[in-house]
Amino acid sequence: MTETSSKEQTSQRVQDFQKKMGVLREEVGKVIVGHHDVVDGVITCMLAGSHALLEGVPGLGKTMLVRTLAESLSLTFSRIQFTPDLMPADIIGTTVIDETSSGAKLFEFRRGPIFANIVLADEINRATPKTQSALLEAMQERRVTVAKTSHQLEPPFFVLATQNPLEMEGTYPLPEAQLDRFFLKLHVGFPSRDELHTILDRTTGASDHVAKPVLDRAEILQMQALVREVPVARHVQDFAVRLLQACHPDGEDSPDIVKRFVRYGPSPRGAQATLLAAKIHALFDGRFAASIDDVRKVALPALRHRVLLNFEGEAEGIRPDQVIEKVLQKLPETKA
Amino acid sequence: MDNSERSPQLRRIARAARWTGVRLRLSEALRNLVAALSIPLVTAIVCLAVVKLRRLDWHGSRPYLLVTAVSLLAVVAAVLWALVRRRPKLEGAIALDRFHGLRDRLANALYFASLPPSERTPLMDLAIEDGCAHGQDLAPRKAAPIAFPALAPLPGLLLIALLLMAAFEIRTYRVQAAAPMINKATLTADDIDYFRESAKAMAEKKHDPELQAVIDKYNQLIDDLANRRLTPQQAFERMEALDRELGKGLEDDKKALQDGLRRMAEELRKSDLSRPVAEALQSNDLDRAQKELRALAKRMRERPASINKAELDRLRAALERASQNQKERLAELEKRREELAAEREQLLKKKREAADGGIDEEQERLLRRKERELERLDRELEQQRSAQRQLDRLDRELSQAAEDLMRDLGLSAQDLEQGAEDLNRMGEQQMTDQEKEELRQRIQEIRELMRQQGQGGRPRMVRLRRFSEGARGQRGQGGQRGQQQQGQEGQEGEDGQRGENGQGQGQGEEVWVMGPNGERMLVIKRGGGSGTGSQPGSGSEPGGQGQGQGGKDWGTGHDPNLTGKATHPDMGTTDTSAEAIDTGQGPSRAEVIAGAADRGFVGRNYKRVFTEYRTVAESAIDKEQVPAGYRFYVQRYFQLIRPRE
Repeated sequence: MTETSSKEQTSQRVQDFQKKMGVLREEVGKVIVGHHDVVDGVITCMLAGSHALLEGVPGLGKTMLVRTLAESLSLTFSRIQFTPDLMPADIIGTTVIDETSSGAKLFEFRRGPIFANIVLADEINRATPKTQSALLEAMQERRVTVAKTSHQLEPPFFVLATQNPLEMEGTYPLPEAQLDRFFLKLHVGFPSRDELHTILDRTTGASDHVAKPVLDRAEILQMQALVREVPVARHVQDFAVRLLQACHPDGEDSPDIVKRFVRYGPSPRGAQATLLAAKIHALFDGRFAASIDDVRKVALPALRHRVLLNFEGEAEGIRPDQVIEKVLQKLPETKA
Repeated sequence: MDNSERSPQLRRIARAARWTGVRLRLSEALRNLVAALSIPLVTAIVCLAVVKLRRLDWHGSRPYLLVTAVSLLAVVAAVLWALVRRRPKLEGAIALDRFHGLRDRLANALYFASLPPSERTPLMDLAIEDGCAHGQDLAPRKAAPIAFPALAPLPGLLLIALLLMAAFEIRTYRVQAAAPMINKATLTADDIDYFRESAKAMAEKKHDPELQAVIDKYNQLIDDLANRRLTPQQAFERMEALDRELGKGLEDDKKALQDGLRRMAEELRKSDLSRPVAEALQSNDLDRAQKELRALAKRMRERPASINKAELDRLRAALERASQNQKERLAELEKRREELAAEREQLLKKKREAADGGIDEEQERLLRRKERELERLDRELEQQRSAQRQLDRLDRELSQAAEDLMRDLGLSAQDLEQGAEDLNRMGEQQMTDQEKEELRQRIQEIRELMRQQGQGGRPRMVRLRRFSEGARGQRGQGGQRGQQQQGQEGQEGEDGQRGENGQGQGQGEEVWVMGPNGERMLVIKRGGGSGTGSQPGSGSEPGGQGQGQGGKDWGTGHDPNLTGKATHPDMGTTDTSAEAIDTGQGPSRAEVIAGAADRGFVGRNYKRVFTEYRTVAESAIDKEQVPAGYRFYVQRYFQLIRPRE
């Protein structure tokens, strides 16, 4: 009896999840035209309790997407425009001397923009590595330490960073350790013809589309909890593990392209991200367990920023996506 | 959906997954089979090509067949590997998921269902139910089709190639083995001449018809050998037949006869009257014995008074003993033989009786000795009988003479005359035996020659033929008679190539040099030669460039300018002979021999030297104890270097 009710509750939770996802997508879709994969990716990162890196040329709506998502959620949002002169204190906050009404003076910590549920780190690669590193602790530990005092970031917390792949002048590529902390790296592509028409219709007309909040903080935390409960069968997990190994040049099932052009493969965080994203993808689809197809679906955004090409690969113009696609193509789904 | 509802569905899904897994396994086995089939087919093609190109027989092809058979094992191994190897779990379920687009619902359901219920979460249960709900109309056949492998045409093509290769004929241009030539027995011309001459010498004498028939057969044998009508085997058979006809054991019989005569002589020696006869018999001189016996008969007939009675008694006694002696010895031999035969029979009987236990070694040795002795006695008896047959008549005559001696000397003399006649006949027989022996000796020589040629083979025959040609002066070497060089010396020419079966002409160089004692010596150098015949010879270098002026001997041919009447055959002629005085100015022996080496064994001087040497050699052979085999070699040597016409 208890078991049946539990199953029904869980089933209900899954259905609610799907329903809320539908509402959220619809709300974001009111502002953002197209980019469904990017929207799903960003939502996936949010549900996984992790961070996303959006890469795309200027003007494709990356900032708009993040801002719209933040508006659709009843969460605090802050936007940090990264520039070369941005200092870590500008992000995490600083301690100032404050005078009380009694005239006493004391040190007070003024919180920086990092203290929000959703942080948009716009053009993150324009800041110096010192400033970029200021995000490390916050992204991984979900807390910041200033003057020997740690300040916990309120969940849910996720950073959405954007970067421009064209302008290399005056940029500081993200270090590998920081890249690894992003759950997914999403490519924001150029919209199609129809999408462009829609964009023009919406943005050049008199009406102004504004998203309204559809999910509150508690609902998001429940959804995050459900994601963690999604079971994974051994063969699916084995596929994710073998996929990760195959991306290493010394992996057992590595194709030639990996052996030739890859310097370092993804860290175990890559497998974690792949499997967690596959679970979320299964829930998006209304299924109760992840599948190999889910892993395939999320493999590219989860692993592309974790595959480091060697000099030959960069010289040949090989993209990490090519490497991962080849691995997915060659990797057998089952293995004894 | 509770457990009881979903269990049958899970079982159905599991069954479908298993069956799909089996089909996947079979499919892989089929793929492996098709792929691996190429290995033995390619191996077979290569091996067949090698076998055909190298034209190997069945024995030589066996290693290649083995390799092909071993390569078949690769097919078996590939198929077995596909059938028994460990395959991934849930392989069939995943294949079903892929085919039906179920996003691993079936595989997940089977996996979660395999977990203990306590470990299952509600989401797992939901996943199982989801799998059961979607696993209704599963199609393992379609999910895991056993399709025709893409590589299937390859073995087919290889098989066709193999069949074509098998049908392809690589023609072998074999040189047909020539029909085996009958290896004819061959003797050199010299040998043939030698044997013909010996046969001719024998045929000139008068013989009894039996020996004449054998000589005729011998001549026929020589003719056949000369015309190469016999194989060696046939020749040996013919010689064996001739040997048989000439009588084997002739020596033994002759010896037995001589022994008999010698014993007879010992008895006759006891009488003064018959002593000369005895001495002649003792020395095996039958002719003298015959004369002495005739002389005794004549004396008895014509001058009986000159013989006293005592002498007659002794003669009678001697004649009686002489006639009896041989018979007694024969009887003694017969008796001894019978005794030995009896002893042997006794031993054999004992041996038969003790067949199971066998006789002891001592008896066995005794039996063997008796048998050997018996065989010897048999031989001796046979010889004695043979001698007795010849002596029988003489014995009778001597016995009759002894009986008649006291009655009538005339009759006795007549008996002795008869005895002399018998001795004469035995002498003639002995003469015939000598000729037989000579004939046998010739046959033995032919046999020995053919045996040596069989051992030396064709090279030996070639050498002998070359020697024979050289000996006859047919080789293109040496100076032509009458073309002696006396002028300017020319360069020495090398040997000309030998012209076979032809007549050679050569230009050589004769040089006079001073000997160690100041005398002039003729040295003949080799010159260029040319041969004409079936295989023309050619000199490798030109001969001497001298200008000859005259020669010692007459030239050949005639002056074409000479004209005159032919000599009338009926003109009167007178035979006159003149003996020249030997001035000792002819060539020395060394010059003659050196000249013969180049010009051949021809010429008067060579004949003289040869005769001298051969006489000495024959004398030495007769006097010295030269073994028969060596004697043959000496004779053959002189036969080969004999003067030629």
